[in-house]
Amino acid sequence: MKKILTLLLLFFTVNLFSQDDVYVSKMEEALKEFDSATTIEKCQASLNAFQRISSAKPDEWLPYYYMSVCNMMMGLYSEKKKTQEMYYEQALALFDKIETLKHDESEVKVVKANILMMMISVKPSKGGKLGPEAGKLIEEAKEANLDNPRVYLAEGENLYYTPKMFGGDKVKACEIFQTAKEMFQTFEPASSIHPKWGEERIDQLLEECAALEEE
Amino acid sequence: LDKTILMVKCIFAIENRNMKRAIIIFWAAILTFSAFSQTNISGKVVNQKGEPIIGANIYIKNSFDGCSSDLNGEFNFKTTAKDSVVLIVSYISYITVEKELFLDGTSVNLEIKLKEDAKVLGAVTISAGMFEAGDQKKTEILSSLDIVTTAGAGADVVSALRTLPGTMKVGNQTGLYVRGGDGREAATFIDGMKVQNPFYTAVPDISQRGRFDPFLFQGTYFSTGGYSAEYGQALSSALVLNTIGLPDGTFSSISLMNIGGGGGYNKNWEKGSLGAFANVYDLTPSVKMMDQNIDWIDPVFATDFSVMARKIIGENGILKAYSKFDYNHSAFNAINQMTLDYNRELELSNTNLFNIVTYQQGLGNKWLMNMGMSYSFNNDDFTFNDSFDTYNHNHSLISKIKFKRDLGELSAIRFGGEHQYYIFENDMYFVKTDTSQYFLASFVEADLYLSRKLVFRAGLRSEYDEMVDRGNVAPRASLAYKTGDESQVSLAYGIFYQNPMYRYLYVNDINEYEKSTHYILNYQILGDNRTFRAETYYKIYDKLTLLDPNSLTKISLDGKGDAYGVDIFWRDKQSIPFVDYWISYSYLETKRKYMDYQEEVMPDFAANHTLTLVYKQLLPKLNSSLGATYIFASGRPYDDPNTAAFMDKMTKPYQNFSLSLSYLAQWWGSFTVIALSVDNVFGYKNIHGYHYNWNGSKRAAILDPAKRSFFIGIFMSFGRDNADDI
Repeated sequence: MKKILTLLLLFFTVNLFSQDDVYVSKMEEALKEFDSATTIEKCQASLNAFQRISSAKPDEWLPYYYMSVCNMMMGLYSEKKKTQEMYYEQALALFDKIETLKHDESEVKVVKANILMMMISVKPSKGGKLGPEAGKLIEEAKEANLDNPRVYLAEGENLYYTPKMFGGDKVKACEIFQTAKEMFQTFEPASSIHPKWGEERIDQLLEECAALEEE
Repeated sequence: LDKTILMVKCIFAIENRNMKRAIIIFWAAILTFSAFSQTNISGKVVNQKGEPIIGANIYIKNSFDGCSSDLNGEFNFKTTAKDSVVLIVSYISYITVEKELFLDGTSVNLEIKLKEDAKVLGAVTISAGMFEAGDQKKTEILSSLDIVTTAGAGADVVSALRTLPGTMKVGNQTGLYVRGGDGREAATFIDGMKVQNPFYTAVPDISQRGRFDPFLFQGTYFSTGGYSAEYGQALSSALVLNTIGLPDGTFSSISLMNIGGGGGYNKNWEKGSLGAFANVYDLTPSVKMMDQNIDWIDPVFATDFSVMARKIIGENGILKAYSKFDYNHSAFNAINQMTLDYNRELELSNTNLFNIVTYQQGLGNKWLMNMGMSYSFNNDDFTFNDSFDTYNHNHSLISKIKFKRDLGELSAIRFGGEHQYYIFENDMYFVKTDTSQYFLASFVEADLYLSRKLVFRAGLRSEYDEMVDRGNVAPRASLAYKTGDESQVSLAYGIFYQNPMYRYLYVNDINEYEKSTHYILNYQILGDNRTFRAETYYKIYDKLTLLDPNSLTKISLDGKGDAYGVDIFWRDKQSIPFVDYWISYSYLETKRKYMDYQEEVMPDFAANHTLTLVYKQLLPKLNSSLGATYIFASGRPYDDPNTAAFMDKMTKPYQNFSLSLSYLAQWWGSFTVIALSVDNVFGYKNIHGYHYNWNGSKRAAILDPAKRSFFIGIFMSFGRDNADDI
């Protein structure tokens, strides 16, 4: 009897554990795909994987977060403005869901700000409205977590790509990239599946900054 | 075999992970295997044409199981789910399919057809006769910013629209002249409500600008024909202006110009806004600086004051209110038509009040309701030679309600009704009137998407005017078909009515409406940065106002005419870096018997050829932009009373070249624009027609008000770009 009870207990604990662990391992698997997604097709496959995970774990914010990032990347890889706009719209639509869930405010706001900036690049006429909105999100993301290097990446990119006549400043942007670079060195993600991207982008931007200084 | 593969997969997955978790997963896998059987699900995802969809997501709801479709649209996966499950198939820009399945271990093979979601991307839109401007639509031709940065347009909505094909350049008349139609045939609507006096009061031989600031509007629909059944009382054209919702933020603004100055403040709350704006204009300094063709006594003095309020109601409702009061005064020596001496002192005082309140509310997720009321009055008081006074006062009260119901995807049905009430107090044209009257209209219209590539619109409008004392029914229809990724053809047909001029209606027993019929064929390519449009049309006028040659007031509706032509538009923002240019060309053939034309002739406002070139160059290093606009229009007919033939002479072609320069700066935390522009740089002497004296022995040319005009202004806005710091 005792043996049976132990077995039953084991069975239940295992099942209880397994759901979460399967989630984590599925996420890790999907993230591996995500890290190497360099084409629209691969991003789509990665997005699909996150969507399937969200179907099983609809209360987790991370799958939606990565779906949004996938959409943003697909927008970046697209050539036509209309297609880009469509992906950015899809990316933004996911925030309605994320915001109803328990989530990391800093990470979510910084990605949303990034997508708004992409949107401005395809619809410059919306810059007057979306620009300040993105700026506000970056400020809020910073308040939520002062040590999030992606906040500084976004802040710097906002300054870097805004035309000078609208308040852009490349020199100041490069200083911020440098801060972000330092922060990446000490940054530890909350878990293996929490956001950790951005360092490669910083390196790329710092190279551009170095080239700028030589000019 | 499956079991082994999965086990291997599991072991692979747990590599490098902590031991405890590995064991748990291992056990979980084993337990899952022993407890449940697996079902194999395979199949193919295709579109409506049967072509494979690559990268579609196929999965079981509430489970981790699923996969993406491969290069052949095929998929294959296993699931441990059993009994009743929901299979979801989704792909971007297609409508997601949910399918109930019963799983008992037997393999399932499916072919899944996905339908395109017309809402997402590239659905066909009705484009015949329609130019969309504004920041809201993907199909826009001109944005609000384009309107204020077009050289020669002077930040006037209507002047900017005159750079589009189908419009005629009529420098001596007020209003929009479209495809052989006169200014009275073009109606202006703000938030769906007809505006009785959209332009500053017309005075002889001068083209007046519109009353409204372009930044008040977020969407502009300019139709050169074949427009929706929602709009009526216009034979040629509808200009539909939609006001902005909640402004971008709290801001204040100041402007200083060589013609005046102004300022305003707008405060935003989370769910509402309130702003007030005032301007004063005095043309005296600029009139003194530049040579004038008009003998001014008092150049234009104008002042306006406006208030705008917005309130968000609930989740999807908005209440908008806007009021504008303006006053202007001018006096000049007008021509005496008998002797051709400029000795007829004409003084005009105009006061105008425009109020509009609209309320939009979504009702559930299928219905949208719009309702609105507007009240306006316009008082024109003329004095001739300090002695003879005449006036024209009108009041209008308009109420309108409309509903829209979604019929799935993009299809929708709209219907609504309006009531207009007018009071006229006139002492003009030898007739004194003091009357009121009402006008009723209703419409119903449906947009039916037969596929993402094909849309059909059918509408019906019905009107009743108290003075005409007879109803009318006007059918409208259009069709659009997408021929490629970015190209489409569109057809439109419609019957349009408008009242004969009120001043004649009072003294004539007319029970008919002026009437036109439009046929339009349009081809359009709308790329990312390039637009090409070609449109051909045929317009028939069956009934037009015709004056009785032996009476000053008697009319009939025996006038008639037609117009046909081709309009071409090309815009390119891509080929030359930092350059945006567009070319409009209109070819027009038109004849009409109307007003004092007792035979069918080409009217004096029509030109056979009109060409407009607009060029804008951004100079990023200088924080500046440069604009140039060139307009050419072939000659317009006029009548020389010394010849037997009527209206057989043509004026010389019209030409105008304008330049503008703007500089952007950030001073004291403001967003500042300095604008400089010169109209008719080369001083072309444009003649719009001639006045002949009583016996035809002398004539006087009708010229532009000034040979050249010059504008400089500084516009500063505080807080718009850092709204959150305030």
